[in-house]
Amino acid sequence: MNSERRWLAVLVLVTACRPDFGLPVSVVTSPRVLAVIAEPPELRPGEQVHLRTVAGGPDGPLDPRADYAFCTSPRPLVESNVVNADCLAGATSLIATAVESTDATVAADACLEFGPDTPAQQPGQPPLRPRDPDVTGGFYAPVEVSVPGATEAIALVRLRCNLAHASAQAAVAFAARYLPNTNPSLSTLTLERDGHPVDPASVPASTEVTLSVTWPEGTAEPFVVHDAQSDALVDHREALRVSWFTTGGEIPVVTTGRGEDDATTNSSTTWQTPTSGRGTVWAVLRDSRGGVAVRSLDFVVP
Amino acid sequence: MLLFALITALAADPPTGEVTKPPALLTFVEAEYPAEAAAQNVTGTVTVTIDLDETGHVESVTLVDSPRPDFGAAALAAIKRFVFLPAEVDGHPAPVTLTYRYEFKVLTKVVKLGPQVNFEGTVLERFKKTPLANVTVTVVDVARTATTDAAGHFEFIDLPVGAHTVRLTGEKLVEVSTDETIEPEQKRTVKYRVEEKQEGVDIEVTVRASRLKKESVQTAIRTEEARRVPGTQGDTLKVVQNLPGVARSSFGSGQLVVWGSAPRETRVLIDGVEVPSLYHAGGLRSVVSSDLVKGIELLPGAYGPEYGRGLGGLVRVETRALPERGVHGSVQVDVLDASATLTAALGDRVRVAASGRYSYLDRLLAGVVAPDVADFFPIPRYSDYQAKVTLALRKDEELGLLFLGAHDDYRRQVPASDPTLVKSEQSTQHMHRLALRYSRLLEDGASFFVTPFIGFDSNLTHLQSGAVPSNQSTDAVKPGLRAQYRSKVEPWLVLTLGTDVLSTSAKVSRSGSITTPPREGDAYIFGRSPGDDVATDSWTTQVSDVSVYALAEIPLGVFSITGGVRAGASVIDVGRLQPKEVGVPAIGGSSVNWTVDPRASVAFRPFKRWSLTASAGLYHQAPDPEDLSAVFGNPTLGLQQSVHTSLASNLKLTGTLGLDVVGFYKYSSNLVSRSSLSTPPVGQALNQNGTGQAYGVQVLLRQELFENFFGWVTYSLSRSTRRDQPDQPERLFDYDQTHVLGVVASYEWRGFTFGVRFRWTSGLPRVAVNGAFYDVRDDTWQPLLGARNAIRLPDFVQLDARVEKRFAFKGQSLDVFLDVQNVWNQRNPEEIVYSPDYSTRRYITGLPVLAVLGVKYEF
Repeated sequence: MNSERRWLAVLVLVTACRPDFGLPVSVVTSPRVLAVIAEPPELRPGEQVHLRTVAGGPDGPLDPRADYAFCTSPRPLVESNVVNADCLAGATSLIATAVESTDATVAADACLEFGPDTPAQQPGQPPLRPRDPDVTGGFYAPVEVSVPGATEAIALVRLRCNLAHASAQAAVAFAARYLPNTNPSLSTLTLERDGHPVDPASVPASTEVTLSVTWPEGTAEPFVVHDAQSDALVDHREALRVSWFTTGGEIPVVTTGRGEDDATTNSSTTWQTPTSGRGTVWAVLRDSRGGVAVRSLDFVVP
Repeated sequence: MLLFALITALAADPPTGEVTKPPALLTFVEAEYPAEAAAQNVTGTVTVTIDLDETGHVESVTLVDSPRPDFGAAALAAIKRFVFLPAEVDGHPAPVTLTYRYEFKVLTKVVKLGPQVNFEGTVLERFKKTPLANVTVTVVDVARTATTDAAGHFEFIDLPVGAHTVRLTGEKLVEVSTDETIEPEQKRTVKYRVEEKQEGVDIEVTVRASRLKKESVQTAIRTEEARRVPGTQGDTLKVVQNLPGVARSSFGSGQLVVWGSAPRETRVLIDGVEVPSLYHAGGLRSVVSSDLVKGIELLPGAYGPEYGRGLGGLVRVETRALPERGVHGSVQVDVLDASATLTAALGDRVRVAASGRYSYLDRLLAGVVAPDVADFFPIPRYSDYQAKVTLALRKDEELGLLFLGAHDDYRRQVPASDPTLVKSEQSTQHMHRLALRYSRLLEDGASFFVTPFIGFDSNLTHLQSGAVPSNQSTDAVKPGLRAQYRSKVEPWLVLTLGTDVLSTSAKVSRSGSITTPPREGDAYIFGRSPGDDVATDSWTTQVSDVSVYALAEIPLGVFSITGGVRAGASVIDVGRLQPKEVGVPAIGGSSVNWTVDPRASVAFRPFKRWSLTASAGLYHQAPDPEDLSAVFGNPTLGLQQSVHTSLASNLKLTGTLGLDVVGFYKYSSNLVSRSSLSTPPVGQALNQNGTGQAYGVQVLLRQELFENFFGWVTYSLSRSTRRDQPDQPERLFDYDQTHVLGVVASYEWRGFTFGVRFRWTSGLPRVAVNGAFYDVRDDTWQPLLGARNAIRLPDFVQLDARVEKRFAFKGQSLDVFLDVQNVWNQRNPEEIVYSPDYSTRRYITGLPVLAVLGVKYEF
C-alpha cells in the first residue's frame, strides 16, 4: 500500500470500523473450488503432472467436472495478481474438459514464460530482466480450472527452474541441496468440545466446537533459497496453513497454521455448529511451496 | 505621563526583636507628576522614611532626599495616603520604620486621556531611500487610511489595540500589505521601504512574495488570521489545504495536490530550504510551529525562475522575525499534541527562538479504538523542533541560523493464528535541516542574500506480511546553497540574479514485490495483499543540480514583462547500472542533463482595478533516488519536464475584496512510469514514456480582513490525465478532482472568533473491479480489474466550525478554541473496501462529528 495513503489523520479512528460483509468465507454456500492438488507439486518443464480438483457445494462435496487449461500469457511486471488477466479471457491452452482429474505436461518453455529464464540476448540489445521468484524461490505455471457454477479458479504448478543471478558454485550447491516439494498429508480431522471428542454423527446444535487437524512429523519440509544479494543458500522450512470450510454453521477464524519456525504438528479453529442438518467440514492443508492435502468429514446435527 | 513607583528597600527599625514579617503595601496612591517637570521630561527618585504603626497606617513621612522640591512635595502627599499590612516582630504586629523610594519616570509619551498617535511611520523608496509622498496607508480591517506627506510620514490616532493588516498603495507604488500589532499604551513606529511601480510587476506581487521591506522599532508582529480557519486546529500552515488550486487529499494523507500534480512534484521550502513535506505523516500537523511562521505562500504553477526541481506547485514558508526585546513564549495543548515556543532577545543584536512539539494521539486512542482499525488508519507518533538564531551585524545586515527537524514513527504488530496473516509494520521518517543565512540590504537599495544549508532525510518502511517482506529505506544527505542579488539597474529595469544548488546523496535499499508500494497509476485496491514475488536491491545515487537564474522586470506602458531563465546542469550518478551479481564489480554511471528553462509573464493593466496576466514556463524534475534501482527501477532515468501556462484575471472590487479567475494548462512529458512488458530489459523496470496533462479554471472571491471579518470562496473545475505508455489509453490521474468548492469565513466579536469552513469535492478516482477469480494456491480471491480510475469515490461534503476566545492580561494571553469538524455528521466515503471475494463493495467512511478542544497560552 502506498505509504502516503497508509498514514491517517486524526480521530476517525474513534468510529471508523471494518465494514461487515456478512458470512465469513469459510461457509460454502455455492459450488466452489476448494483445492487443486498437483502430483507432484513441483516439477521441471516438460514433465507430467496429475491435477485433481476438490470442490464443495452447499450440500457437501462435489464431483467436479472441471475444465483444465494452461495459461499461455506471462503476467506483466506490473501485475499484482498471480496471473495475467488475459488468461481469464481465453489466453489458454486447453488440457482437458469436464473431468475430475487429468494428466498434463508442463510446457518445455515454462521457465521462459513463467520463470527466470530469458530469451537469448540479441545483438545490440540489452539482456532481459529475469522474473522475480516468490519468497520460497518458486516460479509457477498457472492452470485455469473451471467448475460449472463456481468462481473461476487459478491453480499454480510449481516449476523447477534455473537460478537467476547465481554463480556457478551456488547453482551447483543449490542443485545438490534443494529437495523438490512433495504434497503434505493430514493424519486426522477431529471435533472436540470442552476437551472431549465429539462424534460427527451427533454434533450438538449451536455450540462452539473445536476443529483440529494433525499431520505427520516432517510434513513441513526443509528447503533452501538462493539469496541473489549474497549468492548464498538460506535454509528454510515450509510454513503450513490450514483453510477451514463448512456447509453449515460458522468458522470465524477461517485460516490457521504454523510458521516456519513452529514445529507443532497440529492446528485448530473454532466452529459454531448449525442448528440442525447434515453437512461437511473440510480442512485444506497447504505448504508454502504449493503442496496441498485435503481431509473432510461429514457431520449430522440432530 | 505615567508615574512609576518602586519599593527598593525595606529598612525596618524595630525597637527590639526580629522582623518576622515585613509590611506589605495594600493601597498605593499615585503622586501627581509636577507639571513643570513633566513638560521638561525630567525624572527623578525621591527617598523618604515612613513610620508605620502596629495597624499598618502611616504615622509620618520624612523626606530624606529629593532631586527637586516639587518631586518631594508630591511624593510626601501621596505616600501619606498609603495603607500597609502591618509588619510583625517576633510574630506580633509592631510599629516599624521603612525607607521608601518613589520614582518619577517618563515611560512613553502616550497619554491615557485624549486622542494620541499610536501608529506612525515613514515610507521610503526602496532603492533610492527617498521619502514617498501621497502614499495611501490603509489599515484594512478597520478601514482607516492616512496619506504620507512630503517627508513620507504618516500617522494614525488611537488605532485599536491588536493585530492589523496594513496596505500601502499609490499611483506609482507596487501595492503591498503587511501585518502590524498595536500594543496597549505603546506607540508603534515603522519604516517601510517599497518599490515604485513597474507595470505588470505588481501583478506578480499579488501571487508572490511581498516586496515590502520593513524596518521596525518595535517587536511583535503576529499573524493570526490563518490559524483561525476551522479544521486547522490552530495550525497556520494547514490553511494551504483550503487555497485555490489545491485538491482535497485522501483523508489523513496530508498530501498537497496542486493543479493536477502528484504530491511529490510539489516543492516545499522553508526560508528557501527544501523540505520533504509540509506536514507530518497523516497530515495532522505541519512540521513548523505556527508561532515561528510569518507567512506562507502557494504558487500552484507557472512561477518564476528563482525556483525549480519540481513539475508541480511551490509552497514557500517564511519564518518570522524574532522579537527585539524580552522573553516571550507560548504553550499549546490539545488532543493531538503539545507544543511550546520560547523566544528571547540577548542584548541588542542577538535573538534566539526554540520550539518543539510532541504528539500523543496514538496513545490517547490506543485504549479507545478497535485494534483492526489500524488496518485502515495507522496513527503516527510525531515530533518536530525548530531553533532560530539571528545576529544583527550592521544596519540592514543580518546573519541567521535555522535548525529544524521532524520525526514520524508508526509501528504495529498483528498476531494471527495463520502465519501468512502475521504482520509487522513500521514506518519511520526523519528530517533535519541546518541553514545559515546572510542577508544585506545595500546602500543603493539592492538586496543580497546567501543561504548555505545541509539536510538529512531518512525514511524507513517495513512491512512483513507472513514471510513476504516489503521493505524500503532511504538515507539521504542534502547539502545546498541559494544566493540572490536583486537591484534596480535602470529606472525601467529591476534585475535579479541568483544561483540555486542542491545535491542529494542517497543510500537506498529495498526488498519485496516490485509492485509494492504502488506508484501513481497502479491498480491500487485498498486492503489488497502485496504481491509475493520478491526481489532485493541496495544502491546509491547522487543527484546534483546546479542552476543559475536571471529575472528581469520591465514596464512597457500598460503592458509589463517579467521574463527570466533558469539554466543549469543536473548530474545523475548511480552506483550500479546492473543488478548486483556476486563476483561482478559494480559499474556505475553518470549522466549530465543540461536544462534551459525560460519563464515569463506578460501583464496587461488597462484599468487600475483590473489586470490580465499570461504566464508560461518550462520546468524539470530529477527522478527520485528510489526510482534509480537496477532491479526495481531504472538507473538511467533522466529529467522529467513540464510546461505550465496560465491566464489570470485579477479584479479589485473594493480595497479588500477581490475576484481572481485563473485558467491553466500543463503538459508533462518524460514522466517516469512502469514498463508494461513482462520481462523488460535489465534495469528498465521503469521508463520515461509517460505523459500527462492538466487543465482547468479556478475562481477565488476573497474578502481580506475588514472590520473583523475575512473569508473566501474558491471553486476549481479541472481535469488531469496521464498516459503511462504511448500504446496505452489515457487515464485519469490518481488525484484528479473535477470539482473543488471551498468556503471559509471568520468573524471576530468581543474577543470571540467564530469561523466556518465548507467543502465539497469530487471523489478520487479508483480502479474498477469487474469480478474475481480464486487463487487456489493461496486460498484468496484476486480481483479482475477494469479500466484504471474509471470509477470514483462519492463526493465529499463537509462543514466545519470553530470558536475561539482570547483572554488577555498583562502582556499574556490564553486562547481557548473548539474546532468542530463535520458539524452535521456527513458520512463521507474515504475509501472503497471489498469483501474477500470481491462480490460486495462498501465504503470506509471518514470523520464523524468531532470536537477538538485546545488551549494556548502566550506571554
